[in-house]
Amino acid sequence: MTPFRQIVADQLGIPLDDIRVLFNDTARVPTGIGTFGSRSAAIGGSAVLGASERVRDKVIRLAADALEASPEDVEIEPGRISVRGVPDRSTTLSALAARAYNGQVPHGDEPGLEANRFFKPEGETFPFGMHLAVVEIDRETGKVRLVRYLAVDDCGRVLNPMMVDGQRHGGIAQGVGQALFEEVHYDETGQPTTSTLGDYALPRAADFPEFELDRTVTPTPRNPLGAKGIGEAGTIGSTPAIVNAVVDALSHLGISHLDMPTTPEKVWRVLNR
Amino acid sequence: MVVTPNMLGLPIKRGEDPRLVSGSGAYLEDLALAGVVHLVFARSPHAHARVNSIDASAAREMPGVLAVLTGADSDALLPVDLPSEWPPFEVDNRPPNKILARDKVRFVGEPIVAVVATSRAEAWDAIDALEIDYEALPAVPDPEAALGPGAPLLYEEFGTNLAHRLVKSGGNVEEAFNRSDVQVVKGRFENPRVLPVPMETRGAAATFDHGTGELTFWASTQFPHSFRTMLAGILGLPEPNVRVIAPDVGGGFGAKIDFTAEDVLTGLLAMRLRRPVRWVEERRENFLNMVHGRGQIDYVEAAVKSDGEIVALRIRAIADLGGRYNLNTPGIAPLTPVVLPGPYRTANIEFTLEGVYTSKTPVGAYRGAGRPEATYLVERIVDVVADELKLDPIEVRRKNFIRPEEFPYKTPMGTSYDTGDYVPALDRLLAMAGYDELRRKQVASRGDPGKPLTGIGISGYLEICAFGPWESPRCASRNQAK
Repeated sequence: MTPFRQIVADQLGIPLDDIRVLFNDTARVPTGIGTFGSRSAAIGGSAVLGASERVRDKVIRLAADALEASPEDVEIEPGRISVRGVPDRSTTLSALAARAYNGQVPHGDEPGLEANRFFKPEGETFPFGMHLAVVEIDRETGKVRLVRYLAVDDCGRVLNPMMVDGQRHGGIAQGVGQALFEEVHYDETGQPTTSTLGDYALPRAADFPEFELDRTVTPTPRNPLGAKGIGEAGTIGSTPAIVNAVVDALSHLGISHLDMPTTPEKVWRVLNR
Repeated sequence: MVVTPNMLGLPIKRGEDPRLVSGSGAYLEDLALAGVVHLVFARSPHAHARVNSIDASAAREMPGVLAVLTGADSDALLPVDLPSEWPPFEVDNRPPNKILARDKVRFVGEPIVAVVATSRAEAWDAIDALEIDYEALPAVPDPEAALGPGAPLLYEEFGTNLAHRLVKSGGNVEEAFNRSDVQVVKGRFENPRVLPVPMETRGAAATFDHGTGELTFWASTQFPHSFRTMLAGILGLPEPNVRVIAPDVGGGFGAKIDFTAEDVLTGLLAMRLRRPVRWVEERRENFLNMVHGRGQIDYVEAAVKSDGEIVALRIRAIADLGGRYNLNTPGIAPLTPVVLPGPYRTANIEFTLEGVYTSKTPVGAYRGAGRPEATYLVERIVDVVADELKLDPIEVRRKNFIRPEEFPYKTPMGTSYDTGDYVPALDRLLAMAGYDELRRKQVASRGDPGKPLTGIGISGYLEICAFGPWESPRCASRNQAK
C-alpha cells in the first residue's frame, strides 16, 4: 500500500500521511482482481497512477476556476497549488475539494473530486537477475552452510527500494529453504511424515548470512510506471544458485547433480561413498 | 504545469508495520463475532480408500452439535462442483470436484464430514463419534510409479492416473538434436513438494442477514473480489449481496489463492443455521489441507555445441498433482514453459507435461508457481553442460544470453519478453563477489582436509509478472467539510 501512497502523493502534492489506502473489503473497494504473480505494483500501481492523474487533471481545472487563471498556468507543488509567476495566488487541495463537494465547479464539470480507473496492461513483464551463493560443506557431517549470498535483481523501475529489498530477503529465504531444508515427505503407504513444524525443516534466521544486494534498472514499456514485479524473484533465483553451489563443492568427487533438499545425509553419503 | 516527483523511488517505511509488529493486527481467528459457532472437518486418515458407509447418527446427538454434513448431504444442498481453472490440455481427465469426498478418499486430510458445534471441543468430540467404514486401497504417492503399468487407480473411470497432458513445441527440435555439431547433455531435476507455511493458516467466517439477504464473509485470502464472485455463484446469491473481507492474512505466498469446500460450507452453514460460523485450520490440518507447492520432476535433454551454445531443449515434465484439483492445481506446471528457456536464446524447445494424480494433498500456487521449476531445470542443465564440456559456467551463460537489442523477444514457446539486459547484472554480481578471488581460494582450500569444502553457485533467472486482466482503484477526496 505504501507505494500506492507514494504515487498519489507525487500526483497531488500532498503528504503521505494525508493519503489512506482502503483495501481488503469488497464493500469499500467494489471491484478488483487480487494479489498474485507479483502484480500489485505494476498493475495496481499503474491503475492508481491513472486514477490519481484523472483527479490531478480535475484539481487543475478547479484551481484555474478558483484562482481565475488559465489551467496551463496552474502549478501543483508539495502542499500548495498556485499560479505560475503569481506566488501570492494559491490554494490547497483541501480547499479545492471543499469547493468541489459544495458544487462550485467550472462549467461542464461535475461536483466532487474523485476518479475511477480500470487499468489493463499491454502484456506481462519479465524481471530478471543474477544470483550467487557461496556454501561451505563440513567434511565430517555433510552439513551445508550458506556463507555468502549475493543478488543483482532487475525489477524495472523501483517504486520503494526498502520494500523491494524486503521482498527479495523473504523470497531468497524461502528459496534457500527449499534448496537446503524443506521437503514434504510421504511414506510408501501415503502417510505424511512431515506433518508438524517439528518434522518439517523451515529455515531460521541463523541459517542465513547478511544478503549482499544490488540492482540494475531496465524499465518495462508495458505499463506507465515501468515497474516489473519483485515478489517471487528471490525464490526463483536462489534455489538453483544454492544447488549449483553445493554441486560445485562436490564436483571434484565426480558429482554433477544432487537432488533438493541437499541435506547433511545426502551430502554425507556423497562424501563417504 | 509541473509536478515534481519526489516520493517515488524513496525507501518509505510501510505504513501497516507498526500495527502488525506491535501485535495489533487482527487475523481471522481474532475476529470477535457474537454467538459464533465452530465448523470443523473429519478428514481422511487414509491415502486412498473406498468409503463404504458413514454413520453420523451418534455424532448428530452429541452435546452442542448443530449440524453434521456428509458428502451426500452437501451434494443434496449444493449439487455443484468446486471451481478449478486450467488451460486447454490434450488429454484432460478432469476430476469430479464434489464439495466433500463421497465414495472414495484420495489423500490423507481430504475433508469428508463437516460438523458445526457451539464450541470447537464439542465439534471435535462429535467427529470422534462418527462411524466411517473405510476400505483401505493401495496408495500411489510417487507420480512416476503412478503412471506405470498396474498402478492402483485413483479414478478408475479414467483407466489411468494421467490427469492431463500438454505439449508445446517451437523451432525444429528434431533437426536440432540430429545436427552433427551437437552433443546431448541430460539431467533429471526434481522440485520436491514444499509447504507454504503462512503465519496464520487458512480460515473463514460468515454471517448472514436474513432480512437483507446479505452474506458477510471473512476469508484469509489474497483475492477477496474473485472470491466473492465464486462464493456468490456457488451459493446462488446475487453478487452484490456478498461482501468479502480479507483481514490480516499472515502470509499467503500464493496458497491463499484458493476456494475450497471449507469456504463454501462456512457460507452455506451460516445461512442455514442463522448463526455466525467460523472455520480455521489447525497447523497439522494446514499441512495436510492447504495446497503444497512445487512437486515437479523434469527430464531435460540439451543439444549443445562444443562452445556451449544450447541449440535445443527437450523437456518431459511430470507434475505431482495430488488426489484432486484445488482451484489452481492444474494451472501451475503449465506456467513452466511460459518462461522457457529463461534468459537464453535457445530457439528449439519441446515441452511435454504430464499431470499425474497421486494419493497426496493437491498442489497449488506457491511463490513463483511454475517459474521456479523452469528456472531450476534451465540453470541446472546449464551447469551440467559446463561441467561436461569443461567450460566455465559463467561463459556458458554469457554465450547464450539474449542480447538487449533483441527485445521484445519472442521465445519458441510463444512468449514475448518485454525488456532485458543481462550482462550488466552478471558483471555487477561478479564484481561484488570478487569472483576470481573466490575461485582461487576455493581451489586452494580443497586439498586441505582441515577446511570445509567450498562451493560457488551462479544462477540467472527470468520470470513473468504483472498478469492481467486489470485493476480498478478509485482515487477520491473523502473530505466534504467546507
